[in-house]
Parts: sequence; C-alpha cells; structure tokens
Amino acid sequence: MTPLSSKIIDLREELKRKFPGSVPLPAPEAAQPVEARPQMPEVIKGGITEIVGDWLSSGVGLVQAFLIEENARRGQWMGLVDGRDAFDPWSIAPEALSKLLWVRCHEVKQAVRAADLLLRDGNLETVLLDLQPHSARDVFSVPSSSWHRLRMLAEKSGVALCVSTPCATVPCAASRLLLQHRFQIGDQDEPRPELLATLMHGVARQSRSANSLRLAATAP
Amino acid sequence: MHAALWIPRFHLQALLRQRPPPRRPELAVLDQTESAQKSSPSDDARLICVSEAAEKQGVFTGMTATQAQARCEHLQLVYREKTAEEAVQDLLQECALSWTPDFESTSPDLCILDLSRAGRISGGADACGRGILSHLKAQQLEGRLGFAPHVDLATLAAFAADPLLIISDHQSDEKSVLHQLPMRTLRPSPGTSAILQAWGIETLGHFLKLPRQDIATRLGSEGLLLWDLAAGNRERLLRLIRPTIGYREEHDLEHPVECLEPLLFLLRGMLDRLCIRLSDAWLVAAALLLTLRFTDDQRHHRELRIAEPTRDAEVLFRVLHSHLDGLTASAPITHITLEIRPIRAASSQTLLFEKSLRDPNRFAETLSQIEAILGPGSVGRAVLIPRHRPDSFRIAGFLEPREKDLRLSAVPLPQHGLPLRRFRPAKAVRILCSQGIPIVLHADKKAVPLTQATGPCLLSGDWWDTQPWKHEVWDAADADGTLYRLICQGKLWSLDGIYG
Repeated sequence: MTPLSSKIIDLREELKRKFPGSVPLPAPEAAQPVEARPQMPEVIKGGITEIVGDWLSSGVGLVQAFLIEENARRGQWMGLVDGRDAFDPWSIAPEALSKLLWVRCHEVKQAVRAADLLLRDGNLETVLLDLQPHSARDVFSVPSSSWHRLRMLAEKSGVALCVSTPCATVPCAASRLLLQHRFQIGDQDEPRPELLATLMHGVARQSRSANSLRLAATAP
Repeated sequence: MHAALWIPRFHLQALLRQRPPPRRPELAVLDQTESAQKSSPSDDARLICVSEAAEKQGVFTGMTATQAQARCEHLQLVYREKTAEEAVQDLLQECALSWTPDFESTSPDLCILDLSRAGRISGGADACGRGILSHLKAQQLEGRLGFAPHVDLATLAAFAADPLLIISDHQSDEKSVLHQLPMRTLRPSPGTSAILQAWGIETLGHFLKLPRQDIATRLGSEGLLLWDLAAGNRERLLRLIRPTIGYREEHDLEHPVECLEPLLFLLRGMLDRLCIRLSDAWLVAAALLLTLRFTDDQRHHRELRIAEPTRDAEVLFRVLHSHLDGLTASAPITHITLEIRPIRAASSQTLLFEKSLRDPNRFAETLSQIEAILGPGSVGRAVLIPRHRPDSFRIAGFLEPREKDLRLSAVPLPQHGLPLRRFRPAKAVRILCSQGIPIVLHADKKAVPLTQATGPCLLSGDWWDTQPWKHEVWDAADADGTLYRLICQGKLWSLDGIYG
C-alpha cells in the first residue's frame, strides 16, 4: 500500500478535530470473529476453479446457488452451462435468474463446447460449467488439452470459470474445492446459509502452485 | 423560386388518357365511380369536372347530372376512375421529382416545386418550364406551370398560365394577369363565396380593390387569408413529400446455390447496399428478415433480432453467418430475400450502477452459435411460471427485455434445504414400500435401500381443467447420504431429482 501524503494526513486530522462525529471509527480488528466465519466459495477471475463433489448430494448445487445469487446481487452477468439439464430454476431466487444465462446441454462434449464459446465471447463475468451429474468416466473423456484451452481462454478474456465435476479432473485448475460433508434428510429444513457454512467447514481446498496442485488447508 | 405544376380538368384528363377520343367534345365527369353507382344507384351525383366545350354551354362543376343535361343536350356523362386519377397523380409527382427532391403534393392535380436548390433552373425559368411541360406532354397530359417567388403566388400563376407564366420578384405588372382569375380559384368556404357573389365580386382584381382592413372586419380571418392569397404576399413552407425508402433486397438466382460461401457472398452485397440506405436515413437495423426459397418450393423464413441495433454491415453479416452456419436444407436455394427492419438509434442511457454487456451484438452471435449446437430453446433466461405444477418455467431470449411478473413476488424464496437437481424427464423407478413408506429404490437395475423417508407432501392442480394432476412427493435418503426426491402418481413412481 502506498503511504499517504502528509497533506492528506493533516487534512484528515483537521477533519477529525472539527467534526468528530462525521468520521467513522475503524472497527477493532480483534472484534471480528475470523475463525468463526467459514470462508465462502469464491471463483478466480481469469482462471478455473474446480468444485468436486464425489457423490450426488455433496452440495455442488448449494455452492452453485450461492454463486448465482451472489453474482446477481452484485449485478454481474453469469452463465450456467448445465451439463445434464439438471438445474432447477425454482431452487433459486427469481431475481437471480434475470442475470443468469442458462445453457441446457445433455452431453459433456456439448457443454465443453458451449463453455468454450462463452469464454471466447467474454461478455459474462462468470461461467459455471456443471458436469457433476455426469459419470466420472464421461468427464474423464474430456482431453486435458481442452481444459488447457479453456484455461487460456478464461485468462485471455478475464472470465471466471467454475467447473463442477464428480472427481478431480481439471489439471490446470487454479483452485479446487473438495466437498466432503454428508447431508442428512433433516438438513432440508435448515436455512441455506447455515448449510453452506457447514459445507464450507468441511471443504478441502487445493490451490495451484507451479505445476501441481497442493493441499492448502483441510478442515476439520 | 417556386414552380406550381397544375393539371387542369384533372379528372377528365385522367379518363381520356386511357380512352379513344370522344365523338363530341361536351363531356362531364360525375363524382361517383361506376361500381358505386351499380351498387347503390342515385340520381343526385354531381359534376366534378367539365370539358371546355360543355362549359361554354353553361355547364359547371357542382351541378347535378339532370341540371347539366338540361343545359347541354349532347352532354356525355362519364364516371370518375380513381385508379386512373392515382396513376396521373403518380406521374405528376414523378415529373416533380425529376426536377427537385423538394416538392409538395398540394392536391391530386397540383404539385409545388421548390427550385431554390435545383441547378437546372439556372438555364432560365422559361427553358425549365418548357422542359417540365414537354415531359408531361410525353405522358399525354396537358399541364399549366407558374413560377413565382412565393408558394401561393406560384399556385395562382399556374391557374392563370397558358401554359406558362413567370412572375419574378420585381415585375409587378405580371401580377396583374392574376387579377383576371375567378374567385373560386382561392377556394373560399360556401358561406364566404355566397357573400362575395352577393357583393358582385367575381375576380381577384375586384376583391383586391376592397381595403384589407375592411375585409378583415366583415369576413374575419378567412377573408383576410383570401385577401393575402389574392395579393400574393403570403409566405408558407412546403409540406415536402419524401419517397418511402424500402430496406429490402431480393435476388433471383439463375443457378441454384448449394453451398454456404456463394450464399454469403450474395448476402454480403445485399447487406452493404441496405446499410448504405440506412446510413442515409440515419437509421439502424433492429432485425434482419431472411427468406430463402428452395428448388422444391420450400421456404425458410427467419427474423434475426439484433441485440444492439446497428448499421455496421460487418456485425449484421456475422449475425447472418452464425444463423446460416446451423442451417441445413434439403434442396438448393433459388431465391433470396433480405429485409431490414429499421429503427431510430437508441438515445437512452443505462442506469449508472447497472452493468451492461460489453458487446451485446457479439454476445447475440455467440448465443446463436450455441443454439445452433444445442437446438432451439436450449439457451436463454429461465422465467418461472407461477403454478404449483413442478418444473413450471419457460425459456425467454436472454437479450429480450425483462418483464416483471407480479405474481412471482408472492412465491416464497427458496431459503431452506439443498437445491434440487432434476432429471428431465423424471426417471421411472420402482419403489418397495413398507407400511406406506418407501424403503427400497429400484433404479438402473440396482436396489438401493432407503434409510430415511419423509412425506408424503400432496400436490395437485388443474382440477378445473381437462387434465388434472395429483402428486405425492417424498424425500428419501440412502446410506451413502444421497437425498432423493420421489414422486408417486397413482401406483407409478418416478425419481424427480436429487438434492445436492
């Protein structure tokens, strides 16, 4: 951070002295319960974030719903390349749908091609590529060169690409979330923020370093 | 300088142009078409145009047929023909347009030309006038032409011309010719006309001898207007006629086209020409309407909307290219029609805090490419349909303006539980129940024991319609932690989706 000039510091001091009520006091850092708040899922701009859900109810849909609603709240355009036409629009707040482009695919190849076109286009800030409902075999059929091409396109256009897969597949992912929590049927009555917090507590994060992905943090 | 081009005895000239010359010169046109007379015969039809010979025998416009025939024994009455009149009016406008683009079609028989920007007038008004009249003569029309500095003065000059009258700025002597014109050339209202007749005022010269102030006192604003018209001092602007520009190009192909490249080549040329026309009119393209006709008489018609209206031929061409890329046809193309729907360029600005797409046209192109891969209706924005029936939604165009459905504001927000991930269509499964509760799920040749199940949640709807529906919805979980949504319709079970 660049140091402030002495004039600005003097000016701020003068303002504080003259109008003590108008200048908000910075909240003490110690008061923020950093450890109590789980880190919310984030996507990396210009790179690939992979969300891995090994089994069907691993919470991939919950993370996607959070990302869609969060993007809509920020007024950003988002594309969902739905690999198996599984997205349920009634599971998302209606306002969030207005900023969401829904691409309904049925095959992995179609979905990868659609994602490729959206990344080349570069008009959307974030693209979600949902391949998690497909079998691991189908997802592994995507050649690694395709993933590298998608990464390069994302990097070039500055679009955040988030890929959901049933197993760790994307070799060039800048970040990878491994969803490990198992939900119970009683969780259907729980509020979504709490479910998401629970899910993110149990997530394993891997971040890209040099040529390979290394385990960054594992909790609990 | 203005020129008024008038066709005297318009209705008669329009009729005689297409007919052999009449045996006798006494002719009059009735204000009724032949078809109208046959459908509703009436005897009160009046004359709208009279030949010179008939006029000499005391027949005038406005008389009934009976009155006219009483005055002229050999009078031949003819019905007007609107198509012939329209054809003559078109010819008159074409003649005017060949001299200047700035002209007014004051009435079917009269056009007023603004020659202030016409270069050919520099040869002299006389030469110009003779040129216009000879042009009309070639079309078998007899015209009268008046030149004057003001619009209304030029009109009066045309009425008084034989066949050409030029009134320049400073030669007031020529104005005196106008004083011989009858008062009816100014077209006064019937009331004012009767007053003037009672006063013995028959010509413009008589009328102009009356003081302007007194005319205003006795006849009001209409009298004042008539006086100014008669004096030729009134100035007004022309109501210019602008030809309607069509943004449509058609191409009949001698040799049917089978490949994309030659078709694109032709379309590019058509598009370039259309864009130049758009540019001239300061318009942009809102949509492209493409029609292809094939050798087997099949047609392909498609309206391609432009996300951000533009007249950039390159952008429009890309839209066409993307659409044609995904098109397959069973026969070669024989005819191409390309039409542009023009609109004025948008002048509105988006909201300060609302982000817009970087390049909407490129995005529209990308969407059409994806649609070509996945099929129509696969790309867009999900719009919820406020019904209780599961999975009720429709896909709207992503770039179409959003419509807010107030009924959706009453729908509770999905704030609890995991989102559903659907199977479309729902997968048919077999369920083994114990005491009415699902305990085993048979799907994909596998039996999955269910450890938990909650329900049923009863849903029904459309009972007022011909196709009522009734569902039992169950949520169930297996030992691996997979959460299922099961639907029971009668005795049939289906797997609607998985929560995750």
